[in-house]
Amino acid sequence: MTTVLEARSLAKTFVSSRDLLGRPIRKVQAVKDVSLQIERGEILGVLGETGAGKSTVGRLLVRLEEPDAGSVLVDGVDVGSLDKSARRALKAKVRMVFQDPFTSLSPRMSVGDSVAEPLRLLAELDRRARAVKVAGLLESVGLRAEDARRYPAEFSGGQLQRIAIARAIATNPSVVVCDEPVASLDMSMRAQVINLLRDLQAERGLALVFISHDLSLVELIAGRVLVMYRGRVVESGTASAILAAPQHPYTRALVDAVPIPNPKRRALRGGARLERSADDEQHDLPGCDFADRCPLVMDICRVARPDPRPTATGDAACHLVEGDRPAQPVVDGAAAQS
Amino acid sequence: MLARTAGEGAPLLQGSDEALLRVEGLTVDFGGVRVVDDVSFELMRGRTLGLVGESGSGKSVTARAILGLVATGGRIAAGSVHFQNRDLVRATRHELREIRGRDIAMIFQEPRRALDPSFKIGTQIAAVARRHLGLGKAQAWKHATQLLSEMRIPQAALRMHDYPHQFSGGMCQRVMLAMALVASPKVLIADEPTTALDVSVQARILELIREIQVERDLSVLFISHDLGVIAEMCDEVAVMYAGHLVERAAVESIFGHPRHPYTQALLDSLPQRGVGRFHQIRGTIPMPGEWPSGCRFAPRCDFAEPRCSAPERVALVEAADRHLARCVRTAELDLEGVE
Repeated sequence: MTTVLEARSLAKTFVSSRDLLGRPIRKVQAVKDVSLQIERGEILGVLGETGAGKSTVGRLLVRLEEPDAGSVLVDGVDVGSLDKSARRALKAKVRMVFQDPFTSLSPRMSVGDSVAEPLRLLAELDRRARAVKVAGLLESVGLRAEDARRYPAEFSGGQLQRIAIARAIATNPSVVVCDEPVASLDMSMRAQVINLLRDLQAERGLALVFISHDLSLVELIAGRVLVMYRGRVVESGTASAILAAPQHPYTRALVDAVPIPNPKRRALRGGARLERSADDEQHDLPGCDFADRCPLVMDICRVARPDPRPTATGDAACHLVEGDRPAQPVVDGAAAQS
Repeated sequence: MLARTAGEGAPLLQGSDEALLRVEGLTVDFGGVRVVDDVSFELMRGRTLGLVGESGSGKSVTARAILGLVATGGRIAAGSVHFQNRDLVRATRHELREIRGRDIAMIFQEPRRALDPSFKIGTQIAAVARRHLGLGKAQAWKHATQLLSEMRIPQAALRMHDYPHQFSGGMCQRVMLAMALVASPKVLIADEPTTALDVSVQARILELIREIQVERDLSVLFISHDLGVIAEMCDEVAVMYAGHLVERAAVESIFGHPRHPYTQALLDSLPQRGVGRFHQIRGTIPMPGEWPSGCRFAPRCDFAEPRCSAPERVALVEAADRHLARCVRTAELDLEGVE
């Protein structure tokens, strides 16, 4: 296995408001400490709710944001240590697909020009070679070469997202970071995009970072998953195993909150609800970030932050996790998910 | 097989006697283009009807048309909405204004956008109480506080003084619910109320809606594209495609034995454990004005035959006991649902 992308202890704080003199008065620690590794051809899911920091992690990975601390390594090379031109070469290797294709593609540029843009900026190709490449890229995402002349307004959301994917793979990247790539699409459009991503992964050995709040989608597409909560990874490991048997109480709560499309197995009736929202408080607590909402909270959780410890399915940062024993006993109701 | 034309909106559920709201042949045009085409259903007292469909299917326009809320350029071209011995389609603007919020209330997808950022939460709920209940300032405030706390917002009396930006998305939806319930309406129309929320927040809002429904004997029209949410919430389901209903039945029947290939395709396109790939519905949803003749789903349907594209529109027929479907092949197809 070759590691194509690695993040070490990333941290990023945003200033959310400033006083009259421009001095920060409120900060949000979007990412506190996140490390991850992506192997060639792997799909890594990043799960979490609003405010968990998953989009910021994605933006840090493609260098749309500079980290306050930590480093990003592409093919083992620390991006932060490079000069501008060397960085550009690495930029071609890590690309991104955004949530909303209606806003991520310029309405004033033809689809062909949009797809060609990264080639123009990051690859040494003349105009004719670019046109040939763009035609091939559009065909590889299920569109026609002639579509290059058309404009975004002429396409559906699913088609636009495929065009955005064509643009992302134009420079033959080894990793594409997909931030909620189907969240703004209808059900029947989702399938097209997800299947395309899987094909690209299989055919080109492309690695994907798949950022999503949708557990069933991540379970379907990802091999490994990171569950994020308030800027940290609380659980990681094999996606199917973790979502079938969550070890961390937060993952458990997330899994239990997913509605099941089967009226015979209504999961949300009864069962414990998480009180409060993740965004209610944003303080950096000395103990576990989840302590104020955790149904299993103990005294130690409020004073000492648990380090990730090995579980049967990966790692979980919880004081209650021990060896292969999950933090929460698997109750009868858990069968509703499996 | 019993062909139904006039009685498409007849009740399907047994045991629920009273139809509170009866929509018949509702048809909405925008600039001469048909967007909602001959939609009929009944909302039973204390029950939840789910309206499922993808973008552009016409589900939100249907819901708004019930309250006479058709955007500029649109008009209700035909049909009726019977509510308490009145036809809301023929009601005056004044009458509709009285009914909206008082008898039939609505909540939307993005609660924060429905709240005015520059007024206190309490002021906004109290304004509704003053308008609908004719209460004085102090009484309206008290009523609003009571409702906010019924929506399970801790320290409601204090939170009344907060502004919308101090509330999370889920809290804003609770505020919207409080506003919707000010005048104790009988019908709640919820248009994708949890779509913009995280799953853990969604679960609590859905639970709250169910509790309120029982406490207040509310009838709910629940609009969603999310089949999971529909399965959790609804007693009966109507599936919309290209402006009209293609299937309507009790929720167990829709999920267990779909009678229309579109419904089955939707169920198939759900991510399922161990399947690995999504089932893909080919083609795209036809936009209003581009609906094919005959069956509107035929060009994308795996079971389509030449007769499916006949010039006449396919009728909504009783494909099974209390289960309506708009498919000419419904009797011969054995479609699979969820087990």
